[in-house]
Amino acid sequence: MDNLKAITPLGSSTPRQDQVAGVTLVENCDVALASVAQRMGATISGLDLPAVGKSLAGDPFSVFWTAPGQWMIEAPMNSHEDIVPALLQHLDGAVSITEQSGGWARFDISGEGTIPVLERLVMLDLDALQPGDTARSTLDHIGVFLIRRGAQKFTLYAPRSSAASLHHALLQAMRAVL
Amino acid sequence: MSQVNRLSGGLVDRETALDFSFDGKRYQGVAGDTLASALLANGVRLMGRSFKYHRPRGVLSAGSEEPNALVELRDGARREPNTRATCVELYDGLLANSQNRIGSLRFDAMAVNDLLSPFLAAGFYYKTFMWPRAFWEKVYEPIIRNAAGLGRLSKQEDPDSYDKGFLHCDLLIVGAGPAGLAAALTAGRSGKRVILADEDFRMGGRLNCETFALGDQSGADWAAATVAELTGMDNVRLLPRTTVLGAFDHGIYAAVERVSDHLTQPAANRVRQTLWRIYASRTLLTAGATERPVAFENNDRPGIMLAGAMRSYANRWAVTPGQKVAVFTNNDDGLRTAVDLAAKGVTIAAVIDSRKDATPLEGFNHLRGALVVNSRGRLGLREISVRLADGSLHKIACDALGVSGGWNPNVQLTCHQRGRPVWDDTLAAFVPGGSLPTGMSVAGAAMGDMTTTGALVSGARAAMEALELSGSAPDMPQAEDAPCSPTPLWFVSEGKGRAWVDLQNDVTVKDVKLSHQEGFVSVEHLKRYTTLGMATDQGKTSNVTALAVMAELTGKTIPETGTTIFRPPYTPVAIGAFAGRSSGKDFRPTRLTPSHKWAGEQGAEFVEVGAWLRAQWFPKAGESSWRQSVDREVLAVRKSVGVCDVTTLGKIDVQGADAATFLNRIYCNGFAKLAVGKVRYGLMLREDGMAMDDGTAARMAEDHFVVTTTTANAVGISRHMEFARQCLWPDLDVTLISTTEAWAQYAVAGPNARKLLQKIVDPEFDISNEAFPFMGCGEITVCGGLRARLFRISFSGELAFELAVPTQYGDALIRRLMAEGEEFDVVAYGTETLGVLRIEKGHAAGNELNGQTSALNLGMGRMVSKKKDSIGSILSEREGMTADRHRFVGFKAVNAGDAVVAGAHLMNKGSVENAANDQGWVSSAAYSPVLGSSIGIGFLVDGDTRLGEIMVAANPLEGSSVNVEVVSAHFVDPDGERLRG
Amino acid sequence: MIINHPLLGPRDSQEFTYLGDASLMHRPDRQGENAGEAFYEYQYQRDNPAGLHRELWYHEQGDRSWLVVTRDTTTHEITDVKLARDVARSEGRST
Repeated sequence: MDNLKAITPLGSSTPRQDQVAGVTLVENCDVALASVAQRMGATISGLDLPAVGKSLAGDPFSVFWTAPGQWMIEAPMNSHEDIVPALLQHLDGAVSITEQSGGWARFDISGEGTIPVLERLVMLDLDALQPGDTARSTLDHIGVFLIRRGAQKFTLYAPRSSAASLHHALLQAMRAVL
Repeated sequence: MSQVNRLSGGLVDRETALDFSFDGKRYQGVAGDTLASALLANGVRLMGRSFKYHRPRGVLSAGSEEPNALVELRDGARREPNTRATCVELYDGLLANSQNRIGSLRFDAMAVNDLLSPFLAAGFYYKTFMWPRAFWEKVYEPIIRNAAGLGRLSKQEDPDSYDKGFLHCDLLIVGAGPAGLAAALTAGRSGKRVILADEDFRMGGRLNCETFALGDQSGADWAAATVAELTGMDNVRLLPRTTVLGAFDHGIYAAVERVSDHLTQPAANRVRQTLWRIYASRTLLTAGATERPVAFENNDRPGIMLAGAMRSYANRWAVTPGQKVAVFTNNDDGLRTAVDLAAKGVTIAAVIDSRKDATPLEGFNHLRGALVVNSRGRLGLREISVRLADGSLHKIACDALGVSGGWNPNVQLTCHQRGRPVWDDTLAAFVPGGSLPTGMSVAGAAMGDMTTTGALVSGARAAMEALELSGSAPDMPQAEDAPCSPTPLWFVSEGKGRAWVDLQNDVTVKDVKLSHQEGFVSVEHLKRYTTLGMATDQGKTSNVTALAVMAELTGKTIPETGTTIFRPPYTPVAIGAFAGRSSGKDFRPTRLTPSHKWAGEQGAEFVEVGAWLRAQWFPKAGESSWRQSVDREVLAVRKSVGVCDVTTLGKIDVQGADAATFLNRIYCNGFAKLAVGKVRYGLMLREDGMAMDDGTAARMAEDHFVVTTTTANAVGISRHMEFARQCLWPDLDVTLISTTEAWAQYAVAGPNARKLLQKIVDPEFDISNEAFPFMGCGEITVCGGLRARLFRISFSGELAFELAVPTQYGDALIRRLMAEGEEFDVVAYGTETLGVLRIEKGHAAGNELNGQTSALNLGMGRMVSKKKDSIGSILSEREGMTADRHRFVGFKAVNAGDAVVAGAHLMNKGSVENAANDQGWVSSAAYSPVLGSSIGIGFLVDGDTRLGEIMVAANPLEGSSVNVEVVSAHFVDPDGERLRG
Repeated sequence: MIINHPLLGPRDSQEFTYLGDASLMHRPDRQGENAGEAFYEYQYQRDNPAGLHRELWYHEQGDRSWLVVTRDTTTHEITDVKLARDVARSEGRST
């Protein structure tokens, strides 16, 4: 039997890219995701876990903090699609793991003008979000994780079902501001 | 007309001529003009008609406090009514029309109201239009409605876009006059994050309107140089054309930036306005002060304006308001109007000074101890009558009169959080009181520091204090420091005619007296009875005068009389700015299911379910009504097999050693002993014992459950479970996370459901009835190794499964299911069919779980375990709950052609249809193609003992009543044989 | 309003949903005496102060922590914010 093929959150076979002036908005479908949560009285070992509001890059697993005792793991989709068994092998201790890859749409936004664009949409103090920091808030009424990757570089994770609305809001803000 | 009133100098660009039209007539102005200054430059004094009496009116001010010169700006869909001509930045091709007139501005037919003024005093509508009663709705109200209001809406859709935005700063400075600029300079140089906002398009405030020097520069030059320095600072954001409209909790401010209103129309993709939400650690209010006039008989004619505004027109816009100008003042400030205009070559007819002991103004006809008592010139001032100190009456010809009664600090934002201003006797004005919004301080004229030096120094110092900067404030240039002490004069009592207090709502001194006479003495009553201060200018040039009149009448002081509260917005804001991008289809985010694209290709009809779009039915060629499609889908599912996207139902992943214990307390029925590989239907109660939500919990492993909820309650149940986990039982070993989005889930239902799935499920997984019985679950793979989950549950009552794969494969899966299902005539079915099937089966859903029904009502009383603690179980045993005899049953239309209607109430045959005879209600209804009749389910008193009875399903709201037979709610396969095969 | 989250710092209250009085975390013991009365009081009777109020907020659009916030209902001034789990434990709630 033929394997099933995935489509992107925006409903295409290829991820979307947009550019307005100096800002690029890229749909990123190359990342597998899993949520890990600490169980009562246990600590998770096998992976360095970042502190509140921080992220840690790693190979193959990167991690960002999501809640007290809870983190989201990123790994390359092409090598770690079945991320739950991969993590079960890697981690020690009582831990809850759920696959989250299908649940999120990821957009990477970068370039000169990224901050003014995000100022239209996100109520967080972006100055206080340093590279490596992460925060969960809303973007135009859609829940998002923001991870600041650089001075003018952000990753946004939003619920997959709202990908089209999120993309529309971002592109509209880019066109209005840049 | 050419620009007859244009003077030399000013801050305008004469090289750039701008064409505009007003009331169909073409004029020219220059860059830097406002519509008001350009009209005055062209000798146009008549700009509007007043609200009630349709009195001819001209511009009173040069700022956002303007009560008279309200125009309809632009035409077509962008037409904006009640726009203050003083705030419109002139652009080439600008089109404006006066409003509130029938006929022309010169010959307004509604001016008859002025003749009827004795009948139209304050509160007239409480005393008139009462007889005959029938006339109110048909005659009086329509007439009054037509006459009411000022400008007209275009009634077309707003073609412009509006943005929202979020800014954070250490110091927000509201107002860029001398105090605000000094503060911004101080704060900016410290490196802190500063936002400086001003409603004007040119920052500088009064510095641009007066002839004061700051050091060796003009005020305007110092302002421009300061703005240039601030522009170069990365840590300072300048927001001109931006009104900070409200002070909210905890240092949050709203500001509207007029991004494109000074252009013919917004550039492509650009917004008209942006509404900023500003989070300010500290705020400094440097909003300056607004001048107040003096009321006297006929003080409202075109050409009578505020004396300070005259200086603004002369000095900033190089415009004289008239050829022969008089001034009426009670303070030194007003004298400078005569001096500044004379310096530009304007003839000053006289300076009427109410102060007997004022220092004589050399070179001017300075009449001290005198009062203006009347005026003439209906369409434009011609002459004033002046009562001299010796009692004689003189008439003075003039075409403009500048009036100064003193200045009121702009305290409004200090009062947005319940603060009240306090009275300052020296200034004869209100200044900010002790209770300010969190983090706010005030400086400059807004604080009562009325001189230029006072503004500069207090602004700089306030910035230092607000930011806790060490050292001393930067040096400020030398500037004037002359105190302003008006001798209070609120109104001239001489004269029998009307003296205006609130120009926009046409409220006069007589109206205030009438209010007092009628007993509406408190300031709150005065406001509502007379409508004073309630117009779009919110009484900026009238509130204090009115208080002074009432104070005099009651024998109290002004502070004893008090003030009403100020509320946001400071000036009017377009509703579009509050909506931002949330309009039309973008009103809120849309959630799309994994099969959305495929369903669209099939031509599905979609329905909004909260934020989700779900396929409602899938019409086929030749089907002209939704009933045909739905009937077909229902029959096809029960005959063979159908597939439905059920991804939207909430999924919560529950893990931990105490997962089962936790769920056992959340659900009213038992889950502690659910075996691994089994699914169970669960009912959750609210703590008050009412049914809250239902769903299933599947035990994937000892310490791992997948819980489902209804679509509508997914978010609420998540919240509820997190509350229980964190607050009620914080030491239980249980973790929760939503997986609604992570898995695409399809219901595969019908006698051939298993056969279809056996073509999808990988061969190593046995899904025969023996290996995978009803209410089983497990992790499997499909289509050559794709991880998946299978649940054997049925909402339809048919042999059914739900298959879940990671969402990104949901599109491919539905296509594969439909392709492999062709041999079984598989149908895709939508939410309508989903509903019909579950109603035929008698399954409760949202309509039955509306928060008003208990487990007992639902026929699930025995599910509420008495052997364990669960949320809601104790209160479900209350007498009031157990005494309720409504029970869940079905209804079948007696006549084949009748429709059972959801919402109908059940009555015994022959009884009067009223609440007292109400026996229950129909909660859900549908046409059942299987039964060939309309059916319903719902709640009937003692329903479980009344099967077979004929009742009336009454629908008085829509005027129908239908006979129904009470039957079991389980219409199809009541013994559940199809489920278990 | 702004809620100063103990872990995340100041956040706009729009990221939160409000439940009510913090006493809601003290769900009575089913086995206790007069459980019916106790549950009735718990569900329906509570103070409604004009002044300081301890209340439960849920950071739904943030880290999904429940918080106990002390807020003056007349001025909206928030003087204290704690993780509800910590408060629950310190006030005797466990399993």
